[in-house]
Amino acid sequence: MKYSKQLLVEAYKTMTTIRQFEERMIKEFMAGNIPGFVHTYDGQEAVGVGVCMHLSDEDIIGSTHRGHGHCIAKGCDIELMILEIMGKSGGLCKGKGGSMHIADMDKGMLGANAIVGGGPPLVNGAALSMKTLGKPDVAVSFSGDGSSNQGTVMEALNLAGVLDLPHFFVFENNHLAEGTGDEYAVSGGIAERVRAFDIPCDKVDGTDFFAVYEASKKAIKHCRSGKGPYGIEADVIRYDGHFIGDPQAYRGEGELEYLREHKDCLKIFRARVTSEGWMSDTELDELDQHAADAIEKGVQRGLAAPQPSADELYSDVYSSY
Amino acid sequence: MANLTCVVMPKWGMEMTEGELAEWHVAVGETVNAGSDIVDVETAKIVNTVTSNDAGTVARLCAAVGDILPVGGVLAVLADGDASEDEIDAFLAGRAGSAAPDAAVDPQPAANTEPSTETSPSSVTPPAPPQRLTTSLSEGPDDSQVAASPVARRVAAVNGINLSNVVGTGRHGRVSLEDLRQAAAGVGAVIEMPTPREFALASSQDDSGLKVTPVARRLAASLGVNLNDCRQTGRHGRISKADVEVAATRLNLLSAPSPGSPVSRTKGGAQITSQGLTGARRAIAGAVSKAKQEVPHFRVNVDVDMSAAMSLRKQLNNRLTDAKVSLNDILLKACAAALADNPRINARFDGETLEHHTQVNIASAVATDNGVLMPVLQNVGSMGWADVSIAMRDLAARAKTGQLSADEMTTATFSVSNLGMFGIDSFDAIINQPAVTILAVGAAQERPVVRDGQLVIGSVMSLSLASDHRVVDGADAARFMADLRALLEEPALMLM
Amino acid sequence: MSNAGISAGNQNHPIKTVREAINEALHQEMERDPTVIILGEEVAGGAGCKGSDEAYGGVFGLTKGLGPRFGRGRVIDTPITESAIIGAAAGAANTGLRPVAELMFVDFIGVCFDQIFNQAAKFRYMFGGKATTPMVIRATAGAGLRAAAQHSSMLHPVLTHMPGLKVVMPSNAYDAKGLMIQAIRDNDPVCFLEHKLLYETSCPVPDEIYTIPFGEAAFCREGSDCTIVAMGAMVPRAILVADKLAAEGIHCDVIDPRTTSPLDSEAILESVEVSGRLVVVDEANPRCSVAADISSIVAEHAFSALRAPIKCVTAPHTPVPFAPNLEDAYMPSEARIEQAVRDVLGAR
Repeated sequence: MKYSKQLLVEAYKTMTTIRQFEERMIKEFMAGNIPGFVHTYDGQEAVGVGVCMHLSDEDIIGSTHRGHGHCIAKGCDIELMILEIMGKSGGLCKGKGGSMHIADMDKGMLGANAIVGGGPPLVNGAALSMKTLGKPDVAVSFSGDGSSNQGTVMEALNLAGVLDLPHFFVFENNHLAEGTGDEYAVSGGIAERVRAFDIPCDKVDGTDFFAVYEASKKAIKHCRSGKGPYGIEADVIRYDGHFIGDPQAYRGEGELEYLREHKDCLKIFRARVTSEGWMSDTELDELDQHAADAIEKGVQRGLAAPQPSADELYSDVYSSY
Repeated sequence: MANLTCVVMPKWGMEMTEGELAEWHVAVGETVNAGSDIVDVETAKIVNTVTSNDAGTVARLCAAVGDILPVGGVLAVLADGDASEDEIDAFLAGRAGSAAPDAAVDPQPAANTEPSTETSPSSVTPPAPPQRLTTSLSEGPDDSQVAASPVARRVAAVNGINLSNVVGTGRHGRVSLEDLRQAAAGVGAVIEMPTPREFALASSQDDSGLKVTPVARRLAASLGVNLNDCRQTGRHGRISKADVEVAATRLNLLSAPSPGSPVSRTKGGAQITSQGLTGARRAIAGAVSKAKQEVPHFRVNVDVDMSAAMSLRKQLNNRLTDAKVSLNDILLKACAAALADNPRINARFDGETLEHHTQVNIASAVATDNGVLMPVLQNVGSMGWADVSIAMRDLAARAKTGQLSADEMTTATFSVSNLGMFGIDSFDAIINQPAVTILAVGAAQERPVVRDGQLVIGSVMSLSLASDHRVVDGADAARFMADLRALLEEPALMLM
Repeated sequence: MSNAGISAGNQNHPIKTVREAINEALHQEMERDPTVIILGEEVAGGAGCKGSDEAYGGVFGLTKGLGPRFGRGRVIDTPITESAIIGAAAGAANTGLRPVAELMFVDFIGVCFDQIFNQAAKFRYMFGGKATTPMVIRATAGAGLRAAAQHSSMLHPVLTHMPGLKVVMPSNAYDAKGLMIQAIRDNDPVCFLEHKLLYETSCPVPDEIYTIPFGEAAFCREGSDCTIVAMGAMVPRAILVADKLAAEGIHCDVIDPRTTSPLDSEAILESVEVSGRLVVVDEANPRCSVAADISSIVAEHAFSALRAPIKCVTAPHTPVPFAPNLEDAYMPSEARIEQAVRDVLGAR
């Protein structure tokens, strides 16, 4: 067996948790239990999990507005995430950040970031800390095809290359920047752009956990060894709209049905591990159920939790003022 | 049935019409004696304590701190036994029905049963008068290292507050202005803020480039108005003649050159420095203008041979160890003795009511940084030589530091102004109302005098008594001055 | 202590310029704390070139000597990519370093403002108090060097407007050193604005390490007739005016807030409570400015103390012009400050 059982269980458990978490958030949002707006990660689970399986709490990731999956993959507590997304007291960020601003420094989660292209410059900073302080850690930024067009991302790639920072650039190309396709909005290719900065970059099938896992393993080893940044461009799919309630008028006829049938990373994972004889459907179903139970528990806790106290409005602006 | 009496808002000084309650010293149920402190009251001028005229138990407090009551308004009700609420109500209602409430002109206590909340919103509260803090807040070690805002440190210095005694709650724990206020309030005092100065500044910048009508420019030149001080309301934004006139009025250039600014301007090569009036100076200006315009002054002058008085002074000072008697102290004693025999001179008159007093309270002019003050030495007739000397020095010192009480400012029955220390021969003084006379005292100077038919060198002092002719006649003044002269030339008479 | 104004440096201390004082502060803090790093364009200079190892030491020479002393690992030359600079500083601050990022000219916040106000400034709040971002953004600010519109702005109002940022504007060498050391040790993002015209001004500055707490205004002159609040390069001008008026017997408080966020509004309000008159002098453009803010605070909290309308002496609402005569007219002059004080003293 190429992969340990523990690794496979962990990978599937995390992926199915993310999937069900997002599906549940959509339900709760539509039920009016979540304020604001929510961007879901379902469909892209293999990338977040395939990357983060290699990371410890000392390693840092910087996420995007579509960040729930990265949080869960990096080990954030899902009940505290639910409290946060519902804007409740006791949430990961005391209910003051919400879906787009979940951070958990203890888990090396530097924060979801609601500014497209906002994260990579910051992750450079985390990598700079590691380099300056002589730590063997790695910093990972997640970006999409949309943010690959941002000047900040280009600047970050350049500086990471100039300073040889241990920065692993992960581009998740789900081919949709909000409602605009990458064929239109991205001139040239993402991996090619990264390589233009003299940073190695591999293209990988983002619906295949094992492909992402292997590519990340190589990239992270490169970064940890002091050879500077590395990139991957993962070809993924996005199930949901840019936001919940997005009618997705930009989709083609039968496009979503095709994706669900042929590009679902959980289905692909299940087919692989069962066909290889590494895991049984029963085992996988059990993991699904565990995840469902945990999410149910979290949602009930979130629904019952109180709102933040009114004086939370004023705290945490400064360390001291 | 208990016998009920009132403590009412007193009238301190002729101008007082109302007072604001600052702090109660008693609570309902407490026993008080005649003379007990009842409540602190602030007026536009002073803070003072109302005392009880009667003994008894406090049955009701009729007003709250912050309330403003007219003179005569009921502050508290005292009872000599148990009194029911109904009894008190009936007592107060009875008073309300019987007395005329015109407190402003009626020195008698007027009835005002209930404190009116409508008259006491804080926005109309008269500003608290300065009161120096000679309290426990003054004591303490060197406070230069206590963290305090610069303004709080400055105000603390003015008020004699040691910052070690103030709890700092300002930024980073430093002492703020508000902390000073709290600390002062904690000892029942109010901090004194520096008095803002008035300015009416004239610009000195070049105004030749400004757009102005020819008439306005000529007018400005003739009035000495800098065009930078003018608005531009004329056609096409020009300065008009009216703009110059408005500026000139504001800068007091149209009327007589009086209240100006502490700013120099140059006119025709000469430097002119003008000075705005402070509040205290303004008060003095008002008082002397009023007295000069309202009171028909007449004067009676005498020259007094002070030789005997000077040798008395020498004898006294040889004997006294704790005081040094001045010629002025002897003069005050002589005045007191003369006034005892001339009650028409020892009087007060507010234009309506004439009061003749048996107690002699003499106001003496004291020069202070804020202008002349007239602190009052009370009951001079009962004082010994040394007492007069010590009390007068204390009074003058406190006048200069602004620590006089209301009584010490307002109870004069006679006034003295002495410019002898400047070597002035003689002068006229303006009456210090409501007293009806003022004695202007010159220097004791060696002059030829006829004594027992012989021309000898004597020490002669010129005295001039100004009197209010509405209530004092020439003969009254002349008799008093003759008596005064006799007492000074033969001091032994004072013992009789 | 609370009055550490221009005269705070003891006369026995050596005279240093603002440039030297800041440079000394950076040296001392880098020596003391290995997590302090410098990054920016040409903070050493000459990277990738054949010449000197330290071609610049910062274009204004503020970081001179740091590269040779602490090495390029801690004194990091960056490409001219301001978002990358500020982002790296913010991310590094979140993860264990105390970066001092140089923005060269504050006008350049335009190309990296997201990293400043959406990222660094908001981390702590958005993340429920979990993030600390101990970073300093040093930037040269202000007009006076004929650098024209894109290199001469005073943007402290923009930065002061942003919750989460602290904004420091030293007016003299003594304050510059103490405030810089405080900025480096502070656990929040600090924008440290250095006025070009002040770099060569000097005063006694102790060799020792000291800090000046944020939010404590300095009283550069004291007097109860008028309150003058001035910032940055306007402080020396306000002091000259106050000294001139003092010779005429008019005494003014000259208050240098030193930091516009936090702002020592208490000190300003107390002073106005005594003087009843306020002139605010600020080189920034007038609309939505710190001058307007201070005026509003005083009007709101000390209205009854005011004896005259508040006067603001600011730049006009224009970009900074290039021609020397126009730029001179743009900046608040001593004559304008003096006229404003005279106006409030003799309020019409």
